[in-house]
Amino acid sequence: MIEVKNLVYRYPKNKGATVKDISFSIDKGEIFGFLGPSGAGKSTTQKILIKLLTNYLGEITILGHNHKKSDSGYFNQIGVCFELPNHYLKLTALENLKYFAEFYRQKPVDFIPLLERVGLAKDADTKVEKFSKGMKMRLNFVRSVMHNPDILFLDEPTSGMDPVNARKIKDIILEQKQLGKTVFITTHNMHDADELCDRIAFIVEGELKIIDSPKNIKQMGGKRVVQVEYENGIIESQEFLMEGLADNLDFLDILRKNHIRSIHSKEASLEDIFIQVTGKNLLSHENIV
Amino acid sequence: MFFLPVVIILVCRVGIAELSQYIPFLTDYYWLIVAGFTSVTASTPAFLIGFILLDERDENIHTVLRILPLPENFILKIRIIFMMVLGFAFSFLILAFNGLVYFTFLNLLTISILFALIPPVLTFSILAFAKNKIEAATIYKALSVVIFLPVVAFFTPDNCEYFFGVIPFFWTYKAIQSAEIFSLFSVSFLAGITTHTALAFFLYRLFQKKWFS
Repeated sequence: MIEVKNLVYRYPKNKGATVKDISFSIDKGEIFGFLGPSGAGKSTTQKILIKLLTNYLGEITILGHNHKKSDSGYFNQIGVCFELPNHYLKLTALENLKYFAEFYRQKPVDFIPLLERVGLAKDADTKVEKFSKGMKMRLNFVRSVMHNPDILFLDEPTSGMDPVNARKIKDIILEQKQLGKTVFITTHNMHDADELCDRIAFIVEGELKIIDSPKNIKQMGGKRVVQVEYENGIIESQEFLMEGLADNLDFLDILRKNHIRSIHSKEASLEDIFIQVTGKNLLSHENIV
Repeated sequence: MFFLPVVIILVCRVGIAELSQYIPFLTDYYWLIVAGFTSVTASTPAFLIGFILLDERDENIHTVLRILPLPENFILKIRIIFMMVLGFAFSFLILAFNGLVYFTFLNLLTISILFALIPPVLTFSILAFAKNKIEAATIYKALSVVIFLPVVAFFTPDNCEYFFGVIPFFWTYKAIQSAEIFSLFSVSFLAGITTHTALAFFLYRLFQKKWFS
């Protein structure tokens, strides 16, 4: 669906390249996450894929076509949700959607169900200038899916949203995957990436450090142990190796004789692995010492 | 904005005509007065489109417009054509009905074409240099003065006026002045087309570089 080979991009005003020789491929129906701190090259890569930046080196094939040669019809096949809201503030939510829908080959017959899904139906006739950032972002998202595109490019799709509305957006993203849509997400939100993505790429300073499923990535750095917290007059906890756990008499003894408060496997979080692999924090450029 | 040509026509037909009874030598400068009024009126669509585009940039809408399934710069081109058509229509109305200066139909068409080239030059100047709408308003005011600058040329000694030839608007004024002399009119018209187009293209490139690179 998306094939990127040896992609290099340098902004005209910069000395060095922002994206440095990266290669990856995304299958149809896959949710692919680009995870990295601000300035890592995530949005630049997305801008190249949506043709906002063109003077790149390398080869990109999307939907079987050479990306450099694809015409404006390509935009009928993609939906883009930008990191920042971008609407006509003096128009209502509905007017904004109707205006932009006019340009697409496939237009929704009724916009209200779409707005309903993201909790904006009652605000359909409200001018966007009265919307909060979260509402504008939800409207951004609706605009990106309203023309039934094959590929979705989502830049920080839950940015500025409360957990309830972020949940709604994530559910729709997962539904899009079920419908066979390909989703490219750029984010520094590891929880969203962990929950949504089939595969994740860590990008730092324009270089891809690792590409794998969240599960495999987390197993790279986690300890193969379970931690049991129990009450025995006082609260205690103990760790046991996963290997031979069923035959571990100490473990079984604790389970039998104590009131168990919690049992957790000690796998690492994506952020832990990100720091291990890249030496950087997801939320900043700073090296972790 | 749409009533401005009517207001200008009334000013010319009533105000200037009345004024010239008290200031008789004003009749010698009717063509210059009409040229000045027409320039200002033809430039108003530039202000409208310039501000719409700046507004869209402030709201990041210009990025959304670039990912619509439309040919490259389609919406921008439509807007340029729109303001040129408005510029042409406004100029044609004023030149045809001002009641002070009379032109042949061919002159009306060709001179209106020159005036129609003013809006793109002004819009791209605003977009290339203004960082926000306040700066845009300042630049627009400055450009309004530049539009009138060629007037000075016609009060300079003979042939010195051509130093103003670097300003595209000068050739529009010159075309009006020489409307009855075919050879001079033709040269002015062609020079006007060339200088306006060259400057508009240069400013367009600056605008593209500033906004999209």
